[in-house]
Amino acid sequence: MNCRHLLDALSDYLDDQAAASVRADLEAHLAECRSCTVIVETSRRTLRIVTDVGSFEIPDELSQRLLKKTMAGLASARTGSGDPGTGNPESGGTESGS
Amino acid sequence: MRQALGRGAGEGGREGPFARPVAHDGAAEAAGTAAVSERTLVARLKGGDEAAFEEIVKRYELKVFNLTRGLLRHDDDAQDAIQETFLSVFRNIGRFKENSSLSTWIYRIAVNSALMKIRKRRHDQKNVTIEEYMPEFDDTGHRVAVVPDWHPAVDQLLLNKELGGLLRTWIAELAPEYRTVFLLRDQEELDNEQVAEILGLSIAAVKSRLHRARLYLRERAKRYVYGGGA
Repeated sequence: MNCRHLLDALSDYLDDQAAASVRADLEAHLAECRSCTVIVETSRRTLRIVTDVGSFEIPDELSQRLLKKTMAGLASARTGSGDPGTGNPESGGTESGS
Repeated sequence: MRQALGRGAGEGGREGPFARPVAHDGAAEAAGTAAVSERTLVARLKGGDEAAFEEIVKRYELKVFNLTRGLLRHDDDAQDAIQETFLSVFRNIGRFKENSSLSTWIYRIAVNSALMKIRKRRHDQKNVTIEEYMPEFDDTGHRVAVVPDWHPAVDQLLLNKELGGLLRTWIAELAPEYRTVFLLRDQEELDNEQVAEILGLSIAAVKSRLHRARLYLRERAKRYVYGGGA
């Protein structure tokens, strides 16, 4: 395994989804390659910060306003106009998903 | 404040260094009462029960807000997308076949709604070129540049918090196809299969986009810490 191979397998390794043989090769490479060890550690750290930042919060006042507006829109929703669709987001289709 | 859903105990989770709770209604259906409640809600909604609609809005609004806020970058647009999403849920609930979880279906509608908004205002979007942040290798597959170790510096609390805010900005600068996958996987904590289903992509495509988005963010963080420009 070289640095390029390690990078190809990095996401699976970080998610603990790499196959056992790939993981073994990868860890053997890490034992010899300081640069790749840094890549793994800093990637871990970056994603951990994303997790630590957490999600946005909705103030209760905004939450209630949104609910009120959405409920108020129910009547017009029954007429079926302006539907953003439930299909494949990549294609912008409108086929109903399940 | 309404707190994030899908992060509590008993919702399952993926293993590994980033093991985090995952809202996986399929797993919950087999074991929990929450999913029974969801099925009941869906049945009531299909029967036109507005109280059930209100309950679904309350239950999923934060998930939808976080996703659409991350995709659209602006609170106002995210609020519009929330409304459109739930109205679409109400209109289309009769066609929801319950082969997947309600949350997966709602995410799908929310992504669709947000991407339509992005397409409409494409002129004011400025996305990064992700290739500029990908690593380079020599002919033997080894790195061209020396890789500096910046992770001890990030242990400083202030820098950590600062980076957290910047990472949100950098995520928002990703092209929509990468931003969507990254937010669903690493912010909303769905698994590859769920993301593939929501986006209508193969699992390989999801993994590829996630991989490149993660490399991009790591590189932006590195350049920031080392003063090479964010």
